[in-house]
Amino acid sequence: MSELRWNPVLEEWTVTATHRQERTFLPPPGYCPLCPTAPGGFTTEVPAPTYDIVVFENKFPSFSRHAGPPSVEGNPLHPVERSIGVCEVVLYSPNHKNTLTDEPVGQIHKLIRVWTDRFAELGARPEIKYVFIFENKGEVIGVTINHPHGQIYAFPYIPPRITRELESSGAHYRKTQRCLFCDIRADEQQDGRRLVYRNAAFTAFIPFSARYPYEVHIYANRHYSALTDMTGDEQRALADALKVVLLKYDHLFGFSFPYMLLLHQRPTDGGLYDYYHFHIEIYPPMRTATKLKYLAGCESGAGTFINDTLPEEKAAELRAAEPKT
Amino acid sequence: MKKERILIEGDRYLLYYTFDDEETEDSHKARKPEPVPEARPETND
Repeated sequence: MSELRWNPVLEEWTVTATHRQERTFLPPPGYCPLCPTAPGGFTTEVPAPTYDIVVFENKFPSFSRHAGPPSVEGNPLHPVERSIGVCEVVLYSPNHKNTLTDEPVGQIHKLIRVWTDRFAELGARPEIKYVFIFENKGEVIGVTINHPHGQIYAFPYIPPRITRELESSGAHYRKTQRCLFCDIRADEQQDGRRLVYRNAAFTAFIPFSARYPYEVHIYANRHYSALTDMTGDEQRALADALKVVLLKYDHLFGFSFPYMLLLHQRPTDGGLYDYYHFHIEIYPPMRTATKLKYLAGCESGAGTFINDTLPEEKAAELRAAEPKT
Repeated sequence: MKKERILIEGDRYLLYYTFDDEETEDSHKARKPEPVPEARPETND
């Protein structure tokens, strides 16, 4: 059962997806549903003895092509809608113990090409207004299957966080005729204190007003708004930037570092969003190697993040971590 | 890059992506080892 329930106070949708309570939860060794199916062994989601990169429709989707009617009737105050959309799982590698960080730059480049294909295919569907590509890594984030994978949620609406970015960047463009994200990237490059890594096509930095300790954003150096606008060289440069930033996390903390990795692109609802700018945001859930950053009362109840660290200091730590930059 | 589409459960689809062109610098079978951190159990307080 999955449906959209409108929150009239916050003016946003909540997705109820009760069937997800039944989803696979930390299966024992040998029973990972994301591994290839070994001959004569446990049948996984992938009926093949190996694979390179695989995408499949999520067995426990929040949005579905076949979403049924809502469980309750709505009213003008409380609208309810079918949860139409698509949820996919992206398997990065058949190697169960790997992480994205472990993958060679070439494999990450392949993944970026797959992401691009999924953005184009899902975004072309008339009911899809936004294609959200992301990865949750680590049990502290809530990952229920430890196999290198990410997810894609193809939304029937533009999610509120993206709407807010579109509003701010649209207002900045109308006021200045410039891209807000290009201005931020130029400012960070000129300042330098929060830079983490830079190559020919991408700049990684901790934002001036980072909400999470060690939060890193990776901005395209050239102005464009989606994966499908990238050249092959830019795809390779993004793979390089991701590899370097993720390696820095692992080396700085001394263990496989958990994170949320989120691709922010233009909507696919047919509107013009030339002012928007492709970028990736990475949110680590930890403020030290042993302490979690909780989204507690002020963050959850007031909507204001309290960051216990200075972005300038955390960026210096990441620059000094291997591979040094 | 090629993709092969199959059905795995009802009309739930699965896509196999393969890369037999030279767009990517190394294939899955010929991966070069790169430095990776040693794994250590995650601990929280």
